[in-house]
Amino acid sequence: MKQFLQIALGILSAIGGFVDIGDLVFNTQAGATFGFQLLWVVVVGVIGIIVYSEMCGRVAAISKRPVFDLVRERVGFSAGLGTLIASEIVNLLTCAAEVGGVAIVLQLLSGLPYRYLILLGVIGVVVIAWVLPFEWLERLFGYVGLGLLVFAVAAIKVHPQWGQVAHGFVPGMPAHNHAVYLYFVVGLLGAALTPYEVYFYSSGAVEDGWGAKDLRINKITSVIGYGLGAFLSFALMIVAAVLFLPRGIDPQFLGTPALGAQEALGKVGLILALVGILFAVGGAAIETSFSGAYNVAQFFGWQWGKREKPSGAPRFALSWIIIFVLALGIVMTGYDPVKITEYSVIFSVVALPLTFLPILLVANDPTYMGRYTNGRISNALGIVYFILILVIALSAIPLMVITNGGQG
Amino acid sequence: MLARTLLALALAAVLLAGCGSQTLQQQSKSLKALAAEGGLLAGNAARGRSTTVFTREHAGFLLKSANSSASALARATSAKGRQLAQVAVRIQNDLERLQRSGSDRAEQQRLQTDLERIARKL
Repeated sequence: MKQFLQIALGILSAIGGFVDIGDLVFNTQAGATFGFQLLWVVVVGVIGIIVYSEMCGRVAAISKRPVFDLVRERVGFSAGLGTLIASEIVNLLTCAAEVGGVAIVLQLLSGLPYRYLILLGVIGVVVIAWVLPFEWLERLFGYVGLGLLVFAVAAIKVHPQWGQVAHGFVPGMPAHNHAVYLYFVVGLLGAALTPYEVYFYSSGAVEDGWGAKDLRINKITSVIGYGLGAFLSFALMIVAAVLFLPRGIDPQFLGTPALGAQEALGKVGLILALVGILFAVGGAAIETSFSGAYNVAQFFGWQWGKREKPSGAPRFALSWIIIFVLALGIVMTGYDPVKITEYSVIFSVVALPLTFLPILLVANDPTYMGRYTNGRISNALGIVYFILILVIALSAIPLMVITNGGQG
Repeated sequence: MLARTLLALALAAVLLAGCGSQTLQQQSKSLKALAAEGGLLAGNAARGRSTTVFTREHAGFLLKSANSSASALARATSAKGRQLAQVAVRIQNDLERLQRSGSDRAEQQRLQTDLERIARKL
């Protein structure tokens, strides 16, 4: 039971990070556009985030220092500041998209006006983040977000051709629409490897007081948490491939994945899907605002942490509240949260290389890590994924322009 | 320096990607998607598998998108464009009726049939 509660950090990181509004949209659109053909990308993405989360969790547990602390130290002030600015823009855009997502789901559940619900949603999330201790935030959003498992049941109920599903795990290229296909490959990898997940995970490990004795739980947490996220991504893609692709539906709305659960499981499926989405995007909103505050505080050497009373870390507390206020301002302009999230996912790849490189360097440095440096497998995977990250960082923006944001 | 260049490129890309206008073929595809999704929603509502609130609100999101397609197509001068404009208006009407349908299952079933027919023809 204790271990089950301990892996909440991984589940929140996965539910709020791996299956946030960006993944809900990208996975559903990928299934509706290319059927099962992009399932393999989720596997590639989840292995990458497991490798780097395990690494940054280990670094946090041994050195007691989170990622952004190390970014500044290893890449220098100027490059560190560039990474900070890029990360903060991505965090803010993602937080705005999640806040908009919370309001949309509340609207689909209650029928109240969207603008009031944005305000209500932000106030609700800020109050919850203020009042609840860190571990209860992990548990509340992580475990209630498991309502998304309804998509796994829906994926079975829609009776996909399992042979074709299995074929989707083999990388390949479709006969047409190459650029759009590659845009989705990059988008799905970008959504899986979002930097805020590792900022949150490593800061959370420090908040949870991990030490050398917790390295096993670090491995279990990253594998189970992100593995679960990947499982949900498969389910979303399968449901979309079976229900939306043959009808020509192009999922552009947050309610569309819920419509898939409704078609498969009726009213109960619909409600479970909406509640799961609400807690997944709500958890992601908190993760992104905290990640933004963690980054700034760690970069400038301020006192930080949710475990600290706000009076003990006032600039940290003010930072995450400011991020919520700015996110509220962005969503209040009326810009579609789903569009914001598509842009933020592509934009996030800019911050990827400078986030992941310091983790790889420090995880290999015995000065920080003692005898807990990377083994051969971790290093080989770390280097392969770093090269992959560079490739997607360079190709994301051209693909976005060529495909008109995936529209073809 | 690299980070600043990438940031500038990314901002330019966001602006460029957001400025693209849709061709008639893309408009037709969008309308088909809206009609199909509306048909699925109406079908679930007709079978009592949806909540009144979800049907009304999700139909509202689809309607908003149909409104913007209809506005764009209203300016079309080609025969194909005018034909699509008529289809867009029909989808608008159906989605408006679905939004107001409450628990009228017979109406929802009629709308399902019509929207699915439109989606098949596009």
